[in-house]
This record gives sequence, C-alpha cells and structure tokens, in this order.
Amino acid sequence: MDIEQTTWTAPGGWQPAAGQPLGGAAQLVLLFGSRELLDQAQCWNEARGRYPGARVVGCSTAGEIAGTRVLDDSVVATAVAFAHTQVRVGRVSLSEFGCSEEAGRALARSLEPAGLVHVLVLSDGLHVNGTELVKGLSEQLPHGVAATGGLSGDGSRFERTLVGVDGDVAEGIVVAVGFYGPRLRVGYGSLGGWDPFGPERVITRSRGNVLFEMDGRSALQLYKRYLGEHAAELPASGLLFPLSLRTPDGEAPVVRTILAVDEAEQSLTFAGDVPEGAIARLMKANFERLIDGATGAARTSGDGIRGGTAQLALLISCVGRKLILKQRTEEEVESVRDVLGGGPVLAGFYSYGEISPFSASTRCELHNQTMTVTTFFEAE
Amino acid sequence: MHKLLLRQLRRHFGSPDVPAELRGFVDAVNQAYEEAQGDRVLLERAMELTSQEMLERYRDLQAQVGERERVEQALRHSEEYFRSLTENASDVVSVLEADGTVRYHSPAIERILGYSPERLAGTRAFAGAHPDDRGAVEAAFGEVRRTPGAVRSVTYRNRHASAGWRVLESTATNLLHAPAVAGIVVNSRDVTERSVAEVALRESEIRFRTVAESLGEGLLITDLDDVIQYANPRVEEIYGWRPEELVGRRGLEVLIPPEDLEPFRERMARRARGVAERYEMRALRKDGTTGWVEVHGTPFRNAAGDIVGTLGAITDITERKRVQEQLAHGALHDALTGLPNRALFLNRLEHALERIRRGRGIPFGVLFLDVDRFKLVNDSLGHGPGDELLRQIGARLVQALRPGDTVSRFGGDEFTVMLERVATAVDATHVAERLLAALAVPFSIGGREVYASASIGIALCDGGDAHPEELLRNADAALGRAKAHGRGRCEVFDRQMHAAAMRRLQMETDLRRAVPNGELRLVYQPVVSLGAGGIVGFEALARWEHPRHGTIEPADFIPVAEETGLIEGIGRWVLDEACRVLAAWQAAVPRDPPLTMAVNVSARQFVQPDLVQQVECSIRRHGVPAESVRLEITESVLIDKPDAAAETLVALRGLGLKLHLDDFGTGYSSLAFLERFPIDAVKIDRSFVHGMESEPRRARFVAGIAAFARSLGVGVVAEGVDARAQPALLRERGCQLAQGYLFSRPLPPDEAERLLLAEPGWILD
Repeated sequence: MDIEQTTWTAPGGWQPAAGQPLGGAAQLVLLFGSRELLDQAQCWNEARGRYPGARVVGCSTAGEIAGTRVLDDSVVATAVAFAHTQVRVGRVSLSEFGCSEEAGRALARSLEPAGLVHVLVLSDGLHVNGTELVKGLSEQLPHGVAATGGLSGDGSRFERTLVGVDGDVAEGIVVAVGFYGPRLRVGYGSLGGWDPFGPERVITRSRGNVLFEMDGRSALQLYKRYLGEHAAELPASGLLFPLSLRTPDGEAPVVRTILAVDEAEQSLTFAGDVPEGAIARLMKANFERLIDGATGAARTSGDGIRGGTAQLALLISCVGRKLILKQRTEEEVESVRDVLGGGPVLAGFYSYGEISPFSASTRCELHNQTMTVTTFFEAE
Repeated sequence: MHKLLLRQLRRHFGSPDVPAELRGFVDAVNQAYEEAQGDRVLLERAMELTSQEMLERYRDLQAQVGERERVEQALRHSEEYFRSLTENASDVVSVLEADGTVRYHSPAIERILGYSPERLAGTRAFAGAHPDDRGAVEAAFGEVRRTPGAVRSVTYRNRHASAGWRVLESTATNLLHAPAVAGIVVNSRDVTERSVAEVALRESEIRFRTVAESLGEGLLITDLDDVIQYANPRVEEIYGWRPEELVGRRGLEVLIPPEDLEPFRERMARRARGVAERYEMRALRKDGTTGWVEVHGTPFRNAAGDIVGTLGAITDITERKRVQEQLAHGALHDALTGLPNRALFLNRLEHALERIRRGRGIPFGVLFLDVDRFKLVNDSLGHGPGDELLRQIGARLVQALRPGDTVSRFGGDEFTVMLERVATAVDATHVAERLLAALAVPFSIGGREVYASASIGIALCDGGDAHPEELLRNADAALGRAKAHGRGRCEVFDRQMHAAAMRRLQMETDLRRAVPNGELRLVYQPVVSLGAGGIVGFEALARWEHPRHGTIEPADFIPVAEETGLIEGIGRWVLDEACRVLAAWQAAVPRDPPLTMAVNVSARQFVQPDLVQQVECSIRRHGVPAESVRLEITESVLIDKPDAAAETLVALRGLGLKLHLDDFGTGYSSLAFLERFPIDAVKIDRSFVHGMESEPRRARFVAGIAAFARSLGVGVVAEGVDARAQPALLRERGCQLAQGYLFSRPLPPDEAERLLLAEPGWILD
C-alpha cells in the first residue's frame, strides 16, 4: 500500500505532507476540507486531475487532520494505492428515503458483498439520524464486515454539511467506500473520555432525536443555564455538555451530542435518538480524560490488525472534543501517533458524529464525542 | 515546560529556545500555565465530588418518594376496591349517624326500595318501616347504639317508593368508635320472596323436627354419597356425636367400623335402587368403642319422587347383643378364666370320640390337672389373689399348648386338657411335663411372687368305644396316684388304676342302694369324764354293712359319698337317727346335765343350705335338748368359705347346739380358728394321744393345745385314749373329756345302752 498526503491552505496552496506522488496509481483519494473550500469544484477537479485512476470521496469537516497537525480552513487529500485491494463506492441521498435506517440499508446493498472486508462511511452531518443509519447499514452488511466513519461537519456553525464523490458534492448525501481483498486487515477503536455528572434526569418529552423536556422542564433552558454567556454560541457550545443516556432496562449508556437548536419550539436536536423514559445525565470532560480516550482508541485499533503494522490510520474525532481541547487539540492526535508509532500516515477530520464498533467484538454504533481510529494494513 | 507552551514556542519561534531576554517572561508564562492547570484540577475535583454527593442524595430521595407512592397507590387501590364492592353489592350498605340519620346508602337501595340514595341521605333511617315493625326495629337500633361493637339483626317490612312493602333483613353494627367510620353500619337484604316461602317451610320443618326429635329411635338422613343431612338428638346417645357434628360428614367415615364398610356399601347400593330393609350392624362411637344397632333403612325421596338418599331409623341393641353373647359364651365358658368349662370340654371330648368312632379321628390324650395345695393359697392370700392365680395358670396352660388343644377349667382348682394327635403315653407325658415346667415359674400376684405346682393325670384314648366320663375318670385316677406319690408330677393311667377305678365305681353303685336298703347303721363310742370317770355322752359313728364286703369304715365310703352327693341323704339320716337314740337314752337315764350325743358333719354336708333347718327339725322331732347335741366339724369346712362357715356356725349355736372341732392338730391347727369361730371344744387327734405317756413331746403338745384352748374358754376332748397312763396325764394337762378303746370301742346301740345303764365308773389314776 502506497500513500500520498497533501494539504491545501490559502496562504501556501498545495503542499506535500507525507509519502511520494502516486499519480495514476492511486485508487482512492480521501478529501477532507472546510465546507467553503469543499463547496467549490476547484479542489475536486485538482484532486481528480492529479489522480486520474482514483475514486475521490470526501466531506466537509470541523477541522482536518494531517499527520499530527490539526488544520482549519484547509483541504487534506490522502491518496491510496493498494497492491492487492480493490475499492468500490456507493452513494445514497437521504431525501430519497423515508428514514435514515432505510437509507443505511440501501447504501449497504449498493456494495457487492462478495470479498468485502470493510466499509468506510461518510455521511451528511445535519440531516441524518445517525443511529438509524448505522442500524440499517449493519443489518444489511455481511456478517463479520464492520463499518467505520463519521458525520461530516461544518466548523462550529452547524449550518450545512457536504459529502461528495468525484466532484458531485451536496447536502444530504451518504457515501460508502467498500474495501475488497483478502490481504487487507482493518482495525478500529473508539473511546470518549467523558464523565457524567450532576443529577439523573428523565426524558419526559422528545421526538426521535429532538429533545424538548427533561423532568418536565425545558431542556434548552437547562443548557442555557449551564452555559451562561456561552449560550450565545449554541449549538456549538452545547457540545461542552453532551448527554449520557441509559434506558431503564439497563443497557450500556450511549453519548448524545447536540447538532441544532430550535428557539421557536424550544428544542435541541441530537445526533442520535433521545427516547422518552430514558435517563439522562450531563457529561463533562477535561484535557487529560480526552487524551486518555484517544490513546485507548488507538490501542484498540492497533490490536485489530493482528500483528501487522498500520500503514494508514484514519482519525475521526468529535468537534466537541476540539471545543474542549482548543489550542491543545493536536495533543490527542499526538497521543495516537505515540501509540501507533511513526509508520502509518495519519489522516482524518473533526466530525459531527463517529461511526464504529467500540472494539472488534461489539456492534457497530453511532458515537458522539469520541475519537475513532481505523487502521489499515495490506499484507505483501 | 508545559506541553502547550512548548508547542506554541515551536509554532511561533520555530524552537522552544527563546532569546535570553525573553526567558524570564517565558518562565512566568509557563508558571501561569501550570498554576491554571492546578487550579482547574482542584476545581474539577470539587465539582466531581459535589456531583456524586448530590446524585446519592437524589437517589435516596427518589427511593423515599417511590416508597410513598407505592403506599399511596396501594391505599388508593384498596379504597377503590372496597368502594367498588359496596357500590356493586346486591345488598344495601348504609351508614347511619348515632341519632339514626342516614349518612350514606349504597346504590342498591334504589333497586330494593325505589328511592335514590341521594334522596334518602339526611332522612330518618327507619321512617319507612311498617308501623307494626317499627317498635322492634327502633329497639334493635337502640341496643346497637348503646354498645360499641354491638351487632343486631332484625327482619322488618319497609315501604317501597311505588307501592307495597318489602321485607328487609338488616344487620346493624355499632362502629361509632371506629374513627374511619364513626357511624352505625347497616347491611340490608331484600328477603321478601324468601320470607313467604320460609313461613310455609318453617311450619313443615317444625312438624318434622317435633316428630323426629321425639322419636325413641335415632334418625339419620344421608344423601346418595352418604353425607349426613340430618341427625336427631337420639343419635348422640347411640353414637356419642352431637347432631351438628355429624351433619356434613360421611356416615361411613365416622359411624361404621372400617372392617364393616364393604357390607355397608352393598346396603347403600341397594338403598339407591329403592330397597328398604331391616338389619343389625356394628356401630362405631365417637370415643372409638363399638356397639350394635338395628337399622331400618328406607330410601329417601325428594318432592319429585327421585331417590336422593337414605333415611335410617336406628335402635341401640348393644345391651341386648351383649347379654345374648354373654349367655352363649357363659354357658360354655368359665367366667373366671374365660376357658371352656366342663360342659364344653365334655362336648368336645364327645365330638373327638365320635370322629374316632367314624374312623376319621386320631388318637388323643386327656390330662387332668389339679393345683397342689390351692386351698393354702386361698387361705393365706385371700380369694381375690387365689382367683388371679387360677387365671394366670389358665393363661400359662394355653400358652404352653398347641392351638388345636383344648384347655378347660373343670371346676375349682382343676383343669382338663384334650391333646390332639397324641398317640403314645410318652408323647402325652412330654406335654404334661412341659405344662408342669410352665407352672414352675413363679407367678406375680398383687406384686408378690407366688409359687404353685400341679399334679397331672393322663389318660389316652385309642379307640372310639370309650365314654367321655370314663376317660376323665381314668385321668382323675392317674391324678390321684400322682398326688399320692408326692405331687408336682404326672402319672399315666394304667390297668391297675383301672381296677381301682372300677372298684370305686362299684362302691358308688352299691352306696346308692345302701340307704334305702338299710345297710347303714350307727355305732356309739362313749365319751368319759376324766374327772368323775363316768359316761357323759356318746359319739355316733356310721358303719356300712356291705352285703358282700362286710363292714366298711367311714374313711372308706364317706369320700365316695361326698363326691357323689350321697352324703346329703346319709348325713340327714345319721343326724336324725342319733337324735332318736339320744332321746331314748336320755329318757332311760335322766341326768343333769343330760346325756350328750356328738354327730360328725362332713364338709359337703356342712355347706348344705338347709343344714340348720335339718338339725332343728331332728331336735324338735325327737324332743332332745339342743345343748346336749354336739356337731363335729373338721378344719377344712372352715377354710373353704370362712365367712359362710362362720354364719352357719353362729346359726347352729343359736339353736343351742355345741360345736366341736374334730381332728385338731392334724391339719392347719390354726389357733386363729378358735378365736374367730364360735367353737365350744376341740378334739385332740388320736395321733397325739397315742403314746403320749412315753413321748414327752406329744404330751407337751397336748398340754399346749389344752392350755391355749382353756385360755380362750374352749373345751378339750381327747380321742384315741388306749393306755391306762393316759387319762391321768390328760387330766393333769387340763383335758376334761376323753374317748378311746381304753374305755370302750364304738358299740352297737343295744350294747351301748347296756353299758350306759350299768353306769360304769372308770378308775383313772
């Protein structure tokens, strides 16, 4: 497997970041960039021009990862030339389906199941119910094939998120990249590092992923009270306090993060379901716990490639973490590097939601507020 | 250096190594980074703990609230439940104030009386009661109101909203003291329909009960499953169960002994088919005992004529049955030991012989067993223990024998045994020895050890020509020899004994003819005064002049006479003849005191109920003074039935007779007899008098008896005086009278009369 990574920024234009130029040998190019840049055809065209034999897939982000650097207002292109592995790409538009679950099922069906080893998913970040999408996807994928990926971002604005394939870029799109070939080994891990605090609250009014009331009181008002002057920055500042949800029947808690705020109906929209009757607690994080989380995710993903040394590591981390870590955001990427070593090329982005099993033995799920690491290794 | 600062320096200066003039500033910034981090960590820690504490308290609170909610929920549910019961009940539930004002009526009031509950609330509770019933209703309510917790029921008529009257059965309960109610709760039920039918039914019921309860018989009505529906009071006297205890139970479970269930079930089946019958059956009483009842069972039909059960008229026949059974058993069994008696034994013996005669029988043996010295036991321990000993002996004999053998109590202390399948004398002897061994083990009578032994005579039957009596007589003869040979042993009957037995049988036959043929006669031996030396009287002695065997002494024929009962006739004749002769002699030789006559009375004669009358009759007939007649009895007479004997003796003394105790010194010689019984004199047996002049021990013995007798005021007569030295010795030792060959042998009446008239005077020094 050969990789070439380049970055584009306004002052410097395209700059090499890692690897040697691949040109026509590349089969797949991952394009992560700010919404404004990705919305222009130029960057897509340049990528296709440089890698004529490759499928170019990408999405808008809340921060791009190249090596151990975390960039804003940039585009990071990571081109991959596999020695033995083939790549296929599926695409669905959410507006064509009644619900995200059906879209997920359709997307999975668009990939030939024979020889499928792994699926990378890039989804719209605002018009999707990530929980349902992953459910539909998992249902249709062959047994033993996992999906990892994330929801595209829009900085901390939460206005429009874009996903595109070969220059065809739009809102409301979900793309799946299928990897085929027995020599490819894929590992994955996902960890948060957030801790619940404060009282437990029962969700008393909600609709799907829209939350109105907890303990009979306005959830939006509660968030505003906690955020104080940061309330003006909602919904982004809401990411400082994600929700831990557990159902009364005692399943493992999941983390939900805010995607949108509706002042008119006094609601909060989350990246996954917030069912009535579930018990919620606010969560908080600090620098140390988040770094620990990233370290743990990297370690788990490294274990997944069964003795091989990762050649490519895809890091999809939550925008909420970036809001907490601020200037220290790169430290969580460095901690991944510390675990995986100097070998693999690191690429990725800050997202509005992460898709991955917690580890190899668990079900694929939508996560919020985690660092998700997917490692690739192609045997000779 | 702080990691962030390090990166910032790299980004902005290209390297963490800053110019020297900035180094102080960078250090200060680094310190500020570290301090801020420290502050944050502290603050986060405080927040974390606060959060945890808050959550814990919140959970406690939730648990408390949850518990309270559960309690309230249960309370609400309970209230809802009871309200629903009350509102939907067909009976009316009412709550009245203490003054009788209606606080609440349940909705059923409308259905029963036609008024809505709301309309009646606040009105007087019994305003609608019939004028004739109102007094009773108010009185009952008044009683309830006065007593907390009181409950009263009353049935009365109440006006219906539209027309007419309804009959209500109301039960009022005083719950004024119960805070939750604080009123009087009344439950009312519409019994209008029921009460009309009830009147007719009650009258019919009263008629039935009057008849049933006055019956002398027990009356039981059961359904087809034998469940008791009715029992009259008489049943309790029969079965011990109160009628109310029996109703609802199954007769065959409580009134029938388990082993009689099968025939009872058959009878039940017949009753279900409509068969009436009268029968006797056993009855199981409540206390577990059983009795007998006669039952007249009749199928019991309902109004439609279908058989729905049984009506049994029951009479207690336990007593009747008992008497019948006792009669049947008692006639053939000995009351004391429960063993077959003489009659049953002879009957079985007869049957056994009959079987042999028909060629189907097997040789068998007959044992005759007599308890040695049983009289001694009776005398020393009393009759109760004596009876107990016989019972235990009977039980041991049964235990020691085989099931087929028959033991009977033949009479007194005699037992007989019939041994099945005993062919030889050896076999029979083995059995007899086993019996003797069984009796050799001490008995426990009233807590004391008693030793008993027995003698057994054995007779074998090998042919059918024998008679039961003959077999028994043979066994008895063998028994006689066993006793003669020292008791506690057994003897088998043989030919020699047969000869003796035959002789005895012959004597019995001859003796029967002796009295009518005048073969008996009396001889008289004079009784001499040791003081004056002259005759004071005579002792009459019987002699049997047998046509072939010559004169026979009383010792040889009196036992046979006693056994056969001939003694009664002989005794009566002796007494009368002696009195006749005495009268003649007293006339010929008048004296003061008059001449005396001693007459022997045998044991069997003594127990004759008319002995006193016989004596009185003879004395009167011949006109002899009673005080001149002496009756001589032996100790054995007194031992057998001391109380009866004492009574007889007192009666005889009442006639004026004197009583002498014969053969004194040979038997028990109980000095207590002299104290206990009204004896006038003892006759010292000849065995002590004979040779007393040369045997100082005998002389001392005689002296002792005489001294003792004298101290009790009892006279002493010496018998068998046959040596010249004896009269003086006897007189010196306090003996007043004597008889014996020294003076005269017993003489026929004419010779005796001649001797009397000669008035001999014996020189006695």
